[in-house]
Amino acid sequence: MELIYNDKKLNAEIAKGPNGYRLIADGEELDLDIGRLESGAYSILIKGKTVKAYVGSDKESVFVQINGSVFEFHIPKEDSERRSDMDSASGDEAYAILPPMPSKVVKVLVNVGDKVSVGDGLIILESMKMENLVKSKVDAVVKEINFSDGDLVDTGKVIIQLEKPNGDNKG
Amino acid sequence: MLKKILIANRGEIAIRVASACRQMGITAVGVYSEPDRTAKHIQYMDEAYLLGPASPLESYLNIDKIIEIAKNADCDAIHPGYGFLAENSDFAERCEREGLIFIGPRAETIRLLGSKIESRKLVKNAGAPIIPGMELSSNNFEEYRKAAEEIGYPVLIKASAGGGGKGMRIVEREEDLADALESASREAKSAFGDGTVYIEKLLKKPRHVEIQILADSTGRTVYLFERECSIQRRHQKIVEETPSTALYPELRRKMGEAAVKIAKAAGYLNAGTVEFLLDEDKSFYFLEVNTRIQVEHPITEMVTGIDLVAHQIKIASGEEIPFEQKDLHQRGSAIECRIYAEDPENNFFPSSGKILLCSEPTGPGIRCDSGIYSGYEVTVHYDPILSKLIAYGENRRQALERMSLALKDYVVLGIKNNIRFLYDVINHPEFHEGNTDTGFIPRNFPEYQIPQNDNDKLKYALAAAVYHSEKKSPAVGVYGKSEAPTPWETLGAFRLF
Repeated sequence: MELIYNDKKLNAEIAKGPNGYRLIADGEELDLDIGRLESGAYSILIKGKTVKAYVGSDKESVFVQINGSVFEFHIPKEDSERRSDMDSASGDEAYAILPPMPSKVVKVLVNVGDKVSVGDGLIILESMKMENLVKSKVDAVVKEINFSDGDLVDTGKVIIQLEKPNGDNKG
Repeated sequence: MLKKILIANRGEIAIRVASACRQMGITAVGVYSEPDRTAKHIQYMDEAYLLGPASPLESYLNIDKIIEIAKNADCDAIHPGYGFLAENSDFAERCEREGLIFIGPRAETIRLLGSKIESRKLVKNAGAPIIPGMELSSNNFEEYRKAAEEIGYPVLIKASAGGGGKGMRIVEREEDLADALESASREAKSAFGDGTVYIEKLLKKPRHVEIQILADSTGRTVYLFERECSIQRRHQKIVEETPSTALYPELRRKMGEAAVKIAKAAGYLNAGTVEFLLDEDKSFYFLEVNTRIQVEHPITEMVTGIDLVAHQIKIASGEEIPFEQKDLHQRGSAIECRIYAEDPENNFFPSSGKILLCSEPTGPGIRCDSGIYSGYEVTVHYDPILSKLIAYGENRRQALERMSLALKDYVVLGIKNNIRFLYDVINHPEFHEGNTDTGFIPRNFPEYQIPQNDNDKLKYALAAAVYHSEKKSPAVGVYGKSEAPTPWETLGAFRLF
């Protein structure tokens, strides 16, 4: 993604790396690890040095505070428009079913190709000794099922991928 | 004891008062303007009622509506906080007339002390020091000229109804006096509806030192020592501390006793603050009495261990103050920084907008009286104070070290604020030395710029920014929302009632 800092455009991406993640910024690469803390807070580790970074963002800016210093990044116009589309209600997120916390799959209730409506049950998950029925938030078709009954699923893993019925789902 | 109190205020002070009420088993009744429905103070109330639209005149200054709500809700008292109706004698009188207890001084005391000229007279008669100057206003230029000559230039023109620096002029030479009087009077007239001005001696490098007092209905009056509030921008305090680095025990006792004398002469009831200017030669002069709980009251609470708001409520309930002057002591040191939504790089201009992220410091000796949260929208309608950060230490040095760290740890992202500025103020060598006077900010920070960021931290910041922006969508809950759904959301149909 592109960000503007002090009137200078930076091109930066985050990818998986040997120490967790890799920051690729304007052609330079830096291995680091990022841990997600409470909402808006991250632990960033580079060569043994660790900082806590607080991030707040809206459509135009990303603010980062580290140890009392505030960095203000601006999002170039095109990017900010695209982001606002993604952030809008019933965006692509509704099509990717992820566990709220590490969970066990009790029972998958659908098959690939099934049509589902808003409110239909998709999967029963168990976490912290409680069963949760996960229901669809959208009218969709089941595109992929990545786990089976009895599997353990970590946070961040897509269990079921839905797609829009006419197949125009970008995700 | 009072049973139910309406808190006619908003923001951090409404929360402060509500917490005192709830600790004491008193029902806290909140009021709010339309945009304040989701303001933080409402979360701390037992009951809450709508006042009206955003405009203060239709909401927090709307006396009729506030009285109506208090009566309908069966309240027995009203706490006005600071600002808004806190020093409005008509409001205090109206409360008395409607059978509601106004938690503060009597209406006539507020009226008397609200007039600068009247209160100067009272203080002089009580035998406490006032700044040499005129005791009467006049329509005759010759009287002003004579007074200025007697006092000696430079002199200060002040508005009788004044406050916040409005209607104030420094005059260095006689030939400038006539013009300055005219413009000060014009400014006072438009700001306070009263163009009365008077002249007093200008102190060169004064400190602002005030004394906290408490007085009960039997007349027992005690002082809870000083607060030094010399760090001001545009005549508004931003950093306060106690004890003052300028006082020594004998001077502290003298100022405290002068404050008590003034309070007794005014028939004072409840909590109040007697403000003095302290000259370089350690002479002190009466400035004014603030007839309310003050913004900076927590530092006094930290060093005395006395809960001022709780005592306000007890005194209003008719209870006697349960301690005497000899029981009161200062222990350690406390400092307060006022966190404002304002731009220190642009003449402290107020800012508004959404707080994208807020994280408040904690730790030994740290108190944060706050009216904000992540996602809170700061509007332009009210005072831009967001919160107050208070640090206590066994001595001044530790209080400053704790404050310094707490300011670094204070996260308010998305709107302009003065946190970094406050950090630079309390870390200034002159401040460290305790060398503070009311000229500190203009002298040391004439054109403030937030220091450049350390480039070493940029890579960390960039990583956090990109990770936050790109990973925001996938790694969250089932529905891609920022919070994980609760079992209640996923359980399906369910009967609660």
